[in-house]
Amino acid sequence: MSSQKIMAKEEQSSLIMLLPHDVMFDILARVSRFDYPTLSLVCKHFRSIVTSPEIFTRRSLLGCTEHCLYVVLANEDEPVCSKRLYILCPKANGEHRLVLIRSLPDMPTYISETAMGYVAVGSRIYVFSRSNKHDMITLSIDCGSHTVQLLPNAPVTMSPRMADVIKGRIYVIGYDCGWERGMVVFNTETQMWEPRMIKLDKEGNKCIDGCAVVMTDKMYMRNPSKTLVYDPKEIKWETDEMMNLHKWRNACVVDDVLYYYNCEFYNMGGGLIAYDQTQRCWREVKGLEALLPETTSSMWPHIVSHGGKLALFYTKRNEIWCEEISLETRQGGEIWGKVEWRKRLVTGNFLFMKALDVVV
Amino acid sequence: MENEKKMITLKSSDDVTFEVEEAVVLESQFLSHLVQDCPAPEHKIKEVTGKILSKVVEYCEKHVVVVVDGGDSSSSSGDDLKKWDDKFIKEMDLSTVYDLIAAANYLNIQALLDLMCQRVADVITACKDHKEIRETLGIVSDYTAEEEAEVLKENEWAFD
Repeated sequence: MSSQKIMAKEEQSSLIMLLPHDVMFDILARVSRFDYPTLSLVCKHFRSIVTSPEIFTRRSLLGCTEHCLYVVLANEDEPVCSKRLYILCPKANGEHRLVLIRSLPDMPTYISETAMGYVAVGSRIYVFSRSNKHDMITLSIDCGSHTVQLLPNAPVTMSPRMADVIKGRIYVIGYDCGWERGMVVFNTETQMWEPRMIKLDKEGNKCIDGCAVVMTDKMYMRNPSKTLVYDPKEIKWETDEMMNLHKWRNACVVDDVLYYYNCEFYNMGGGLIAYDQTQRCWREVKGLEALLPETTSSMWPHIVSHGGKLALFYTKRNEIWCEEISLETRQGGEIWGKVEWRKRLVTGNFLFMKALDVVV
Repeated sequence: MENEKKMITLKSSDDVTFEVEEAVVLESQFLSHLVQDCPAPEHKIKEVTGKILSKVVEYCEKHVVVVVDGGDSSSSSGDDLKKWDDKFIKEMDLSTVYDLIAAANYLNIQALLDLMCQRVADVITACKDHKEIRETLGIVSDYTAEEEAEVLKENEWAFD
Protein backbone atom coordinates (compact mmCIF):
# COMPACT_ATOMS: atom_id res chain seq x y z
CA MET A 1 0.00 0.00 0.00
CA SER A 2 1.41 3.40 -0.94
CA SER A 3 1.91 5.96 1.80
CA GLN A 4 -0.66 8.20 0.13
CA LYS A 5 -3.25 5.47 0.34
CA ILE A 6 -2.47 4.87 3.98
CA MET A 7 -2.82 8.55 4.67
CA ALA A 8 -6.13 8.71 2.84
CA LYS A 9 -7.37 5.79 4.88
CA GLU A 10 -6.28 7.27 8.16
CA GLU A 11 -7.85 10.57 7.27
CA GLN A 12 -11.17 8.91 6.50
CA SER A 13 -10.91 6.75 9.55
CA SER A 14 -10.57 9.78 11.74
CA LEU A 15 -13.81 11.10 10.24
CA ILE A 16 -16.15 8.50 11.71
CA MET A 17 -14.03 8.21 14.83
CA LEU A 18 -14.27 11.96 15.33
CA LEU A 19 -18.05 11.87 15.65
CA PRO A 20 -19.25 12.63 19.18
CA HIS A 21 -19.36 9.55 21.42
CA ASP A 22 -23.09 9.97 21.92
CA VAL A 23 -23.71 9.96 18.16
CA MET A 24 -21.70 6.73 17.74
CA PHE A 25 -24.10 5.13 20.23
CA ASP A 26 -27.02 6.40 18.17
CA ILE A 27 -25.61 4.87 14.99
CA LEU A 28 -24.69 1.46 16.41
CA ALA A 29 -27.97 1.21 18.38
CA ARG A 30 -29.74 1.17 15.00
CA VAL A 31 -27.83 -1.88 13.76
CA SER A 32 -29.32 -5.32 14.43
CA ARG A 33 -28.06 -7.00 17.62
CA PHE A 34 -27.27 -10.05 15.52
CA ASP A 35 -24.57 -7.91 13.84
CA TYR A 36 -22.97 -6.88 17.16
CA PRO A 37 -20.47 -9.74 17.17
CA THR A 38 -19.31 -8.55 13.74
CA LEU A 39 -19.14 -4.95 15.00
CA SER A 40 -17.02 -6.10 17.95
CA LEU A 41 -14.44 -7.37 15.48
CA VAL A 42 -14.17 -4.07 13.61
CA CYS A 43 -12.13 -2.18 16.20
CA LYS A 44 -11.81 -1.66 19.96
CA HIS A 45 -13.94 1.47 19.94
CA PHE A 46 -16.88 -0.33 18.29
CA ARG A 47 -16.48 -3.23 20.68
CA SER A 48 -16.53 -0.97 23.73
CA ILE A 49 -19.83 0.50 22.51
CA VAL A 50 -21.69 -2.69 21.58
CA THR A 51 -20.66 -4.47 24.78
CA SER A 52 -21.69 -1.61 27.07
CA PRO A 53 -25.00 -1.79 28.94
CA GLU A 54 -25.83 1.74 27.69
CA ILE A 55 -26.23 0.55 24.10
CA PHE A 56 -29.24 -1.53 25.10
CA THR A 57 -30.78 1.42 26.97
CA ARG A 58 -30.25 3.51 23.86
CA ARG A 59 -31.87 0.87 21.65
CA SER A 60 -35.05 1.04 23.73
CA LEU A 61 -35.05 4.85 23.76
CA LEU A 62 -34.79 4.88 19.96
CA GLY A 63 -37.35 2.10 19.54
CA CYS A 64 -34.72 -0.06 17.82
CA THR A 65 -35.11 -3.13 20.01
CA GLU A 66 -35.54 -6.59 18.49
CA HIS A 67 -37.41 -9.64 19.71
CA CYS A 68 -35.01 -12.59 19.98
CA LEU A 69 -36.03 -16.16 20.72
CA TYR A 70 -33.95 -18.05 23.27
CA VAL A 71 -34.48 -21.76 23.74
CA VAL A 72 -33.48 -23.99 26.67
CA LEU A 73 -32.68 -27.54 25.57
CA ALA A 74 -31.57 -30.49 27.67
CA ASN A 75 -29.09 -32.80 25.98
CA GLU A 76 -29.80 -36.34 27.09
CA ASP A 77 -26.62 -37.68 25.51
CA GLU A 78 -24.49 -35.87 28.02
CA PRO A 79 -23.77 -37.58 31.35
CA VAL A 80 -25.56 -35.00 33.51
CA CYS A 81 -28.30 -34.19 31.00
CA SER A 82 -27.08 -30.60 30.75
CA LYS A 83 -29.47 -27.78 30.04
CA ARG A 84 -28.06 -25.09 27.80
CA LEU A 85 -29.30 -21.84 26.35
CA TYR A 86 -29.57 -21.42 22.57
CA ILE A 87 -30.51 -18.43 20.43
CA LEU A 88 -32.49 -18.50 17.21
CA CYS A 89 -30.53 -16.42 14.69
CA PRO A 90 -32.01 -15.09 11.48
CA LYS A 91 -29.71 -15.58 8.48
CA ALA A 92 -29.27 -13.23 5.55
CA ASN A 93 -31.17 -15.62 3.24
CA GLY A 94 -34.26 -15.50 5.48
CA GLU A 95 -33.51 -18.89 7.05
CA HIS A 96 -33.05 -19.39 10.78
CA ARG A 97 -30.59 -21.44 12.76
CA LEU A 98 -30.37 -22.40 16.40
CA VAL A 99 -27.01 -21.58 17.97
CA LEU A 100 -25.64 -22.72 21.32
CA ILE A 101 -24.38 -19.81 23.43
CA ARG A 102 -21.15 -21.33 24.65
CA SER A 103 -20.24 -18.39 26.85
CA LEU A 104 -23.20 -19.16 29.12
CA PRO A 105 -22.87 -22.00 31.63
CA ASP A 106 -25.21 -24.97 32.04
CA MET A 107 -28.53 -23.96 33.51
CA PRO A 108 -28.94 -25.30 37.06
CA THR A 109 -30.53 -28.73 37.30
CA TYR A 110 -32.28 -30.26 40.25
CA ILE A 111 -33.78 -33.78 40.13
CA SER A 112 -37.07 -33.05 38.39
CA GLU A 113 -36.86 -31.51 34.93
CA THR A 114 -39.63 -29.11 35.75
CA ALA A 115 -38.25 -27.97 39.09
CA MET A 116 -37.54 -24.49 37.89
CA GLY A 117 -38.90 -21.40 36.28
CA TYR A 118 -37.64 -19.22 33.46
CA VAL A 119 -38.99 -15.73 32.84
CA ALA A 120 -37.97 -13.19 30.21
CA VAL A 121 -38.27 -9.57 31.30
CA GLY A 122 -37.04 -7.05 28.74
CA SER A 123 -33.45 -7.92 27.82
CA ARG A 124 -32.98 -10.38 30.69
CA ILE A 125 -33.85 -13.97 31.44
CA TYR A 126 -34.41 -14.83 35.08
CA VAL A 127 -33.85 -18.43 36.11
CA PHE A 128 -35.27 -19.81 39.34
CA SER A 129 -34.03 -23.22 40.37
CA ARG A 130 -33.05 -25.24 43.38
CA SER A 131 -29.54 -26.29 44.15
CA ASN A 132 -28.54 -29.70 45.46
CA LYS A 133 -28.32 -28.11 48.86
CA HIS A 134 -31.57 -26.86 50.29
CA ASP A 135 -31.56 -23.44 48.77
CA MET A 136 -32.95 -21.73 45.79
CA ILE A 137 -30.76 -20.28 43.05
CA THR A 138 -31.79 -17.16 41.17
CA LEU A 139 -29.85 -16.20 38.08
CA SER A 140 -30.16 -13.19 35.85
CA ILE A 141 -28.88 -13.57 32.30
CA ASP A 142 -28.09 -10.39 30.40
CA CYS A 143 -28.99 -11.23 26.82
CA GLY A 144 -27.12 -8.22 25.47
CA SER A 145 -23.72 -9.33 26.70
CA HIS A 146 -24.60 -13.01 27.29
CA THR A 147 -23.33 -12.87 30.84
CA VAL A 148 -24.87 -14.34 33.95
CA GLN A 149 -25.25 -12.90 37.43
CA LEU A 150 -26.19 -14.65 40.66
CA LEU A 151 -28.99 -12.86 42.50
CA PRO A 152 -29.64 -12.88 46.25
CA ASN A 153 -31.46 -15.77 47.88
CA ALA A 154 -35.23 -15.81 48.16
CA PRO A 155 -36.66 -15.10 51.64
CA VAL A 156 -37.99 -18.66 51.83
CA THR A 157 -36.30 -21.84 50.71
CA MET A 158 -38.39 -23.14 47.90
CA SER A 159 -38.35 -25.66 45.11
CA PRO A 160 -39.69 -23.57 42.23
CA ARG A 161 -42.20 -25.01 39.79
CA MET A 162 -43.37 -22.09 37.70
CA ALA A 163 -42.91 -18.37 37.37
CA ASP A 164 -44.35 -15.47 35.46
CA VAL A 165 -44.17 -11.70 35.49
CA ILE A 166 -46.79 -9.00 36.09
CA LYS A 167 -45.73 -5.36 35.85
CA GLY A 168 -42.07 -6.01 36.58
CA ARG A 169 -42.72 -8.35 39.52
CA ILE A 170 -41.93 -12.02 39.04
CA TYR A 171 -44.19 -14.43 40.91
CA VAL A 172 -42.41 -17.69 41.63
CA ILE A 173 -44.57 -20.60 42.71
CA GLY A 174 -43.15 -23.69 44.29
CA TYR A 175 -43.03 -25.97 47.30
CA ASP A 176 -41.62 -24.85 50.61
CA CYS A 177 -39.80 -27.16 53.03
CA GLY A 178 -43.07 -28.65 54.29
CA TRP A 179 -44.19 -29.42 50.69
CA GLU A 180 -46.81 -26.69 50.89
CA ARG A 181 -47.22 -24.54 47.81
CA GLY A 182 -46.34 -20.92 48.18
CA MET A 183 -45.41 -17.92 46.14
CA VAL A 184 -42.52 -15.50 46.46
CA VAL A 185 -42.12 -12.26 44.54
CA PHE A 186 -38.97 -10.87 42.92
CA ASN A 187 -39.08 -7.21 41.95
CA THR A 188 -37.05 -6.70 38.74
CA GLU A 189 -36.87 -2.94 39.22
CA THR A 190 -35.29 -3.02 42.66
CA GLN A 191 -33.66 -6.43 41.97
CA MET A 192 -34.86 -7.49 45.43
CA TRP A 193 -37.08 -10.18 46.82
CA GLU A 194 -40.20 -9.08 48.62
CA PRO A 195 -39.99 -10.25 52.21
CA ARG A 196 -43.00 -12.45 52.66
CA MET A 197 -44.32 -15.62 51.08
CA ILE A 198 -47.88 -15.69 49.75
CA LYS A 199 -49.71 -18.91 50.63
CA LEU A 200 -51.72 -20.82 48.06
CA ASP A 201 -55.05 -22.34 49.03
CA LYS A 202 -55.99 -26.02 48.80
CA GLU A 203 -56.79 -25.83 45.07
CA GLY A 204 -53.58 -23.96 44.42
CA ASN A 205 -51.69 -26.87 45.87
CA LYS A 206 -52.81 -29.01 42.94
CA CYS A 207 -51.54 -26.73 40.18
CA ILE A 208 -49.92 -28.31 37.16
CA ASP A 209 -46.22 -27.58 37.01
CA GLY A 210 -44.96 -25.02 34.55
CA CYS A 211 -48.42 -23.96 33.51
CA ALA A 212 -48.90 -20.28 34.34
CA VAL A 213 -49.75 -17.41 31.99
CA VAL A 214 -50.42 -13.72 32.55
CA MET A 215 -53.44 -11.97 31.00
CA THR A 216 -54.84 -8.53 31.84
CA ASP A 217 -52.35 -8.28 34.74
CA LYS A 218 -53.62 -11.45 36.40
CA MET A 219 -51.91 -14.82 36.59
CA TYR A 220 -53.74 -17.96 35.43
CA MET A 221 -52.89 -21.51 36.43
CA ARG A 222 -54.60 -24.78 35.79
CA ASN A 223 -55.10 -27.94 37.80
CA PRO A 224 -57.05 -31.03 36.72
CA SER A 225 -60.39 -29.57 37.74
CA LYS A 226 -60.03 -25.81 37.80
CA THR A 227 -58.36 -22.76 36.35
CA LEU A 228 -57.12 -20.55 39.14
CA VAL A 229 -56.66 -16.82 38.81
CA TYR A 230 -54.42 -14.71 40.99
CA ASP A 231 -55.06 -10.99 41.10
CA PRO A 232 -52.03 -9.27 42.66
CA LYS A 233 -53.98 -6.03 43.20
CA GLU A 234 -56.50 -7.79 45.42
CA ILE A 235 -54.02 -10.43 46.65
CA LYS A 236 -56.83 -12.89 45.96
CA TRP A 237 -57.27 -16.29 44.32
CA GLU A 238 -60.37 -17.09 42.27
CA THR A 239 -61.50 -19.74 39.84
CA ASP A 240 -62.50 -19.27 36.20
CA GLU A 241 -65.02 -21.81 34.90
CA MET A 242 -65.00 -20.60 31.30
CA MET A 243 -61.25 -20.93 31.01
CA ASN A 244 -61.40 -24.43 32.31
CA LEU A 245 -63.42 -25.70 29.35
CA HIS A 246 -60.10 -26.53 27.72
CA LYS A 247 -57.16 -28.35 29.21
CA TRP A 248 -54.79 -25.62 28.08
CA ARG A 249 -51.12 -26.13 28.65
CA ASN A 250 -47.76 -24.69 27.54
CA ALA A 251 -49.70 -21.61 26.53
CA CYS A 252 -48.75 -18.02 25.80
CA VAL A 253 -50.58 -14.71 25.62
CA VAL A 254 -50.64 -12.18 22.77
CA ASP A 255 -52.72 -9.01 23.20
CA ASP A 256 -54.58 -10.51 26.15
CA VAL A 257 -55.61 -13.58 24.13
CA LEU A 258 -54.34 -16.96 25.33
CA TYR A 259 -53.08 -19.46 22.75
CA TYR A 260 -52.27 -23.10 23.21
CA TYR A 261 -51.69 -25.93 20.81
CA ASN A 262 -53.63 -29.13 21.14
CA CYS A 263 -52.53 -32.03 19.00
CA GLU A 264 -53.70 -34.76 21.34
CA PHE A 265 -57.27 -34.79 20.04
CA TYR A 266 -56.64 -33.28 16.67
CA ASN A 267 -59.48 -35.10 14.98
CA MET A 268 -61.79 -33.59 17.60
CA GLY A 269 -61.13 -29.94 17.06
CA GLY A 270 -57.46 -29.80 17.89
CA GLY A 271 -54.85 -27.43 16.56
CA LEU A 272 -54.20 -23.89 17.67
CA ILE A 273 -56.84 -22.76 20.14
CA ALA A 274 -57.42 -19.21 21.38
CA TYR A 275 -59.18 -17.88 24.44
CA ASP A 276 -60.29 -14.27 24.33
CA GLN A 277 -60.53 -13.01 27.88
CA THR A 278 -62.58 -9.88 27.06
CA GLN A 279 -65.21 -11.85 25.09
CA ARG A 280 -64.81 -14.87 27.35
CA CYS A 281 -64.89 -17.32 24.47
CA TRP A 282 -62.75 -20.12 23.06
CA ARG A 283 -62.17 -20.42 19.33
CA GLU A 284 -60.07 -22.41 16.93
CA VAL A 285 -57.48 -20.44 14.97
CA LYS A 286 -58.25 -20.96 11.27
CA GLY A 287 -55.93 -21.46 8.34
CA LEU A 288 -53.47 -23.85 10.02
CA GLU A 289 -55.05 -27.18 9.09
CA ALA A 290 -51.91 -28.30 7.25
CA LEU A 291 -49.96 -28.06 10.51
CA LEU A 292 -51.87 -30.80 12.32
CA PRO A 293 -50.48 -33.90 10.60
CA GLU A 294 -46.97 -32.54 11.23
CA THR A 295 -47.45 -32.16 14.95
CA THR A 296 -49.41 -35.28 15.91
CA SER A 297 -46.41 -37.20 17.16
CA SER A 298 -45.38 -34.39 19.50
CA MET A 299 -46.30 -34.88 23.13
CA TRP A 300 -47.00 -31.34 24.22
CA PRO A 301 -46.12 -28.60 21.77
CA HIS A 302 -44.99 -25.34 23.36
CA ILE A 303 -46.09 -22.01 22.10
CA VAL A 304 -44.43 -18.69 22.84
CA SER A 305 -45.23 -15.14 21.88
CA HIS A 306 -42.59 -13.67 19.61
CA GLY A 307 -43.14 -9.95 19.12
CA GLY A 308 -46.88 -10.29 18.41
CA LYS A 309 -46.44 -13.51 16.43
CA LEU A 310 -46.38 -17.05 17.76
CA ALA A 311 -43.50 -19.50 17.72
CA LEU A 312 -44.64 -23.10 17.94
CA PHE A 313 -42.10 -25.69 19.11
CA TYR A 314 -42.79 -29.39 18.68
CA THR A 315 -40.94 -32.65 18.33
CA LYS A 316 -41.04 -35.02 15.39
CA ARG A 317 -39.15 -38.29 15.91
CA ASN A 318 -35.80 -37.09 17.28
CA GLU A 319 -36.10 -33.64 15.80
CA ILE A 320 -37.25 -30.35 17.30
CA TRP A 321 -39.10 -28.07 14.92
CA CYS A 322 -40.18 -24.44 15.08
CA GLU A 323 -42.92 -22.73 13.08
CA GLU A 324 -43.54 -19.01 13.20
CA ILE A 325 -47.21 -18.10 12.91
CA SER A 326 -48.56 -14.61 12.23
CA LEU A 327 -52.06 -13.79 13.48
CA GLU A 328 -54.89 -11.80 11.97
CA THR A 329 -58.24 -11.05 13.61
CA ARG A 330 -61.00 -10.78 11.02
CA GLN A 331 -64.51 -9.37 11.25
CA GLY A 332 -66.66 -11.26 13.69
CA GLY A 333 -63.64 -12.04 15.83
CA GLU A 334 -62.35 -15.01 13.80
CA ILE A 335 -58.60 -15.45 14.22
CA TRP A 336 -56.56 -16.62 11.24
CA GLY A 337 -53.02 -17.89 11.45
CA LYS A 338 -50.39 -18.09 8.74
CA VAL A 339 -47.14 -20.03 8.90
CA GLU A 340 -44.38 -17.53 8.09
CA TRP A 341 -41.56 -20.05 8.18
CA ARG A 342 -40.80 -23.49 9.54
CA LYS A 343 -37.46 -24.95 10.42
CA ARG A 344 -35.97 -28.10 11.92
CA LEU A 345 -33.84 -26.73 14.75
CA VAL A 346 -31.94 -29.77 16.03
CA THR A 347 -31.71 -33.52 15.58
CA GLY A 348 -30.65 -35.81 18.42
CA ASN A 349 -31.50 -36.63 21.99
CA PHE A 350 -32.66 -33.19 22.98
CA LEU A 351 -35.49 -32.32 25.31
CA PHE A 352 -37.26 -29.05 24.75
CA MET A 353 -37.50 -27.18 28.07
CA LYS A 354 -38.55 -23.63 27.38
CA ALA A 355 -38.58 -20.86 24.78
CA LEU A 356 -38.34 -17.20 25.77
CA ASP A 357 -39.01 -13.99 23.89
CA VAL A 358 -36.31 -11.50 24.88
CA VAL A 359 -36.31 -7.87 23.81
CA VAL A 360 -32.81 -6.45 23.21
CA MET B 1 -49.72 36.88 5.58
CA GLU B 2 -47.23 36.07 2.81
CA ASN B 3 -45.48 39.43 3.20
CA GLU B 4 -45.21 39.22 6.97
CA LYS B 5 -42.85 36.25 6.99
CA LYS B 6 -39.76 37.14 8.95
CA MET B 7 -36.51 36.44 7.12
CA ILE B 8 -33.24 35.56 8.81
CA THR B 9 -29.77 35.36 7.31
CA LEU B 10 -27.43 32.55 8.26
CA LYS B 11 -23.74 32.85 7.49
CA SER B 12 -21.48 29.80 7.32
CA SER B 13 -17.91 29.53 8.61
CA ASP B 14 -16.65 30.31 5.09
CA ASP B 15 -19.01 33.31 4.76
CA VAL B 16 -21.65 31.80 2.49
CA THR B 17 -25.00 33.41 3.32
CA PHE B 18 -28.46 31.84 3.26
CA GLU B 19 -31.63 33.84 3.62
CA VAL B 20 -34.33 31.70 5.19
CA GLU B 21 -37.75 32.12 6.75
CA GLU B 22 -37.86 32.16 10.52
CA ALA B 23 -39.93 28.96 10.49
CA VAL B 24 -36.99 27.15 8.86
CA VAL B 25 -34.63 28.32 11.58
CA LEU B 26 -37.03 27.03 14.24
CA GLU B 27 -36.39 23.44 13.05
CA SER B 28 -33.07 23.80 14.88
CA GLN B 29 -33.32 24.09 18.64
CA PHE B 30 -29.92 25.73 18.80
CA LEU B 31 -30.90 28.40 16.24
CA SER B 32 -34.33 28.95 17.84
CA HIS B 33 -32.63 29.93 21.08
CA LEU B 34 -30.06 32.02 19.22
CA VAL B 35 -32.74 33.96 17.30
CA GLN B 36 -34.81 34.48 20.44
CA ASP B 37 -31.91 35.60 22.57
CA CYS B 38 -30.28 37.79 19.95
CA PRO B 39 -32.71 39.36 17.47
CA ALA B 40 -30.07 40.36 14.90
CA PRO B 41 -30.92 39.93 11.19
CA GLU B 42 -27.77 37.87 10.51
CA HIS B 43 -26.27 34.97 12.45
CA LYS B 44 -22.84 33.54 11.87
CA ILE B 45 -22.49 29.79 12.42
CA LYS B 46 -18.76 29.31 12.83
CA GLU B 47 -18.87 25.53 13.15
CA VAL B 48 -20.59 24.74 9.84
CA THR B 49 -19.27 25.22 6.30
CA GLY B 50 -21.32 26.63 3.42
CA LYS B 51 -21.49 23.24 1.69
CA ILE B 52 -22.99 21.59 4.76
CA LEU B 53 -25.16 24.52 5.79
CA SER B 54 -26.77 24.50 2.31
CA LYS B 55 -27.75 20.86 2.93
CA VAL B 56 -29.09 21.69 6.38
CA VAL B 57 -31.15 24.58 4.98
CA GLU B 58 -32.43 22.38 2.13
CA TYR B 59 -33.55 19.73 4.63
CA CYS B 60 -35.19 22.17 7.03
CA GLU B 61 -37.01 24.07 4.24
CA LYS B 62 -38.46 20.82 2.92
CA HIS B 63 -39.61 19.69 6.33
CA VAL B 64 -41.12 23.04 7.29
CA VAL B 65 -43.16 23.30 4.06
CA VAL B 66 -44.70 19.90 4.59
CA VAL B 67 -45.66 20.57 8.17
CA VAL B 68 -47.32 23.90 7.24
CA ASP B 69 -49.06 22.55 4.12
CA GLY B 70 -49.81 19.18 5.56
CA GLY B 71 -52.81 20.17 7.65
CA ASP B 72 -55.51 17.62 7.12
CA SER B 73 -54.70 16.99 3.45
CA SER B 74 -53.62 13.33 3.66
CA SER B 75 -50.96 10.99 4.86
CA SER B 76 -49.28 11.15 1.47
CA SER B 77 -47.34 14.21 2.58
CA GLY B 78 -45.64 11.91 5.10
CA ASP B 79 -44.88 9.37 2.36
CA ASP B 80 -43.64 12.11 0.02
CA LEU B 81 -41.39 13.41 2.75
CA LYS B 82 -39.99 9.94 3.30
CA LYS B 83 -39.29 9.60 -0.42
CA TRP B 84 -37.62 13.00 -0.41
CA ASP B 85 -35.50 11.98 2.62
CA ASP B 86 -34.46 8.75 0.86
CA LYS B 87 -33.35 10.67 -2.23
CA PHE B 88 -31.64 13.30 -0.06
CA ILE B 89 -29.43 10.73 1.69
CA LYS B 90 -28.80 8.47 -1.31
CA GLU B 91 -27.02 11.22 -3.19
CA MET B 92 -24.62 11.84 -0.33
CA ASP B 93 -21.15 10.39 0.19
CA LEU B 94 -20.16 9.22 3.65
CA SER B 95 -17.89 12.15 4.45
CA THR B 96 -20.80 14.56 3.79
CA VAL B 97 -22.98 12.33 6.00
CA TYR B 98 -20.46 12.65 8.85
CA ASP B 99 -20.30 16.43 8.41
CA LEU B 100 -24.10 16.63 8.42
CA ILE B 101 -24.24 14.49 11.55
CA ALA B 102 -21.83 16.85 13.27
CA ALA B 103 -23.85 19.87 12.07
CA ALA B 104 -27.23 18.36 13.06
CA ASN B 105 -25.79 17.44 16.43
CA TYR B 106 -24.40 20.94 16.97
CA LEU B 107 -27.52 22.74 15.69
CA ASN B 108 -29.74 20.26 17.54
CA ILE B 109 -31.95 19.15 14.64
CA GLN B 110 -33.08 15.77 15.93
CA ALA B 111 -34.92 14.54 12.82
CA LEU B 112 -31.93 15.25 10.57
CA LEU B 113 -29.57 13.62 13.06
CA ASP B 114 -31.80 10.52 13.18
CA LEU B 115 -31.92 10.34 9.39
CA MET B 116 -28.15 10.56 9.05
CA CYS B 117 -27.41 8.07 11.86
CA GLN B 118 -29.81 5.63 10.20
CA ARG B 119 -27.94 6.10 6.92
CA VAL B 120 -24.62 5.10 8.51
CA ALA B 121 -26.36 2.18 10.28
CA ASP B 122 -27.76 1.01 6.92
CA VAL B 123 -24.31 1.21 5.33
CA ILE B 124 -22.93 -0.95 8.16
CA THR B 125 -25.80 -3.44 7.89
CA ALA B 126 -25.20 -3.86 4.16
CA CYS B 127 -21.61 -5.06 4.78
CA LYS B 128 -21.07 -8.81 4.80
CA ASP B 129 -18.37 -8.96 7.46
CA HIS B 130 -16.12 -6.90 9.74
CA LYS B 131 -13.48 -6.50 7.03
CA GLU B 132 -15.99 -4.94 4.68
CA ILE B 133 -17.18 -2.60 7.47
CA ARG B 134 -13.58 -1.48 8.04
CA GLU B 135 -13.05 -0.94 4.33
CA THR B 136 -16.33 0.92 3.81
CA LEU B 137 -15.93 3.20 6.81
CA GLY B 138 -12.16 3.50 6.42
CA ILE B 139 -11.40 2.11 9.85
CA VAL B 140 -7.97 0.73 10.63
CA SER B 141 -8.16 -2.18 13.07
CA ASP B 142 -6.35 -1.63 16.36
CA TYR B 143 -6.49 -5.31 17.34
CA THR B 144 -3.50 -7.57 17.46
CA ALA B 145 -4.06 -11.00 15.88
CA GLU B 146 -4.33 -12.52 19.38
CA GLU B 147 -6.87 -9.95 20.52
CA GLU B 148 -8.96 -10.47 17.40
CA ALA B 149 -8.97 -14.22 17.96
CA GLU B 150 -10.13 -13.60 21.54
CA VAL B 151 -13.04 -11.40 20.41
CA LEU B 152 -13.95 -14.01 17.81
CA LYS B 153 -14.05 -16.64 20.55
CA GLU B 154 -16.26 -14.49 22.78
CA ASN B 155 -18.75 -14.13 19.97
CA GLU B 156 -18.54 -17.65 18.66
CA TRP B 157 -22.33 -18.04 18.86
CA ALA B 158 -22.83 -15.59 16.04
CA PHE B 159 -20.49 -17.11 13.50
CA ASP B 160 -20.74 -20.34 11.54
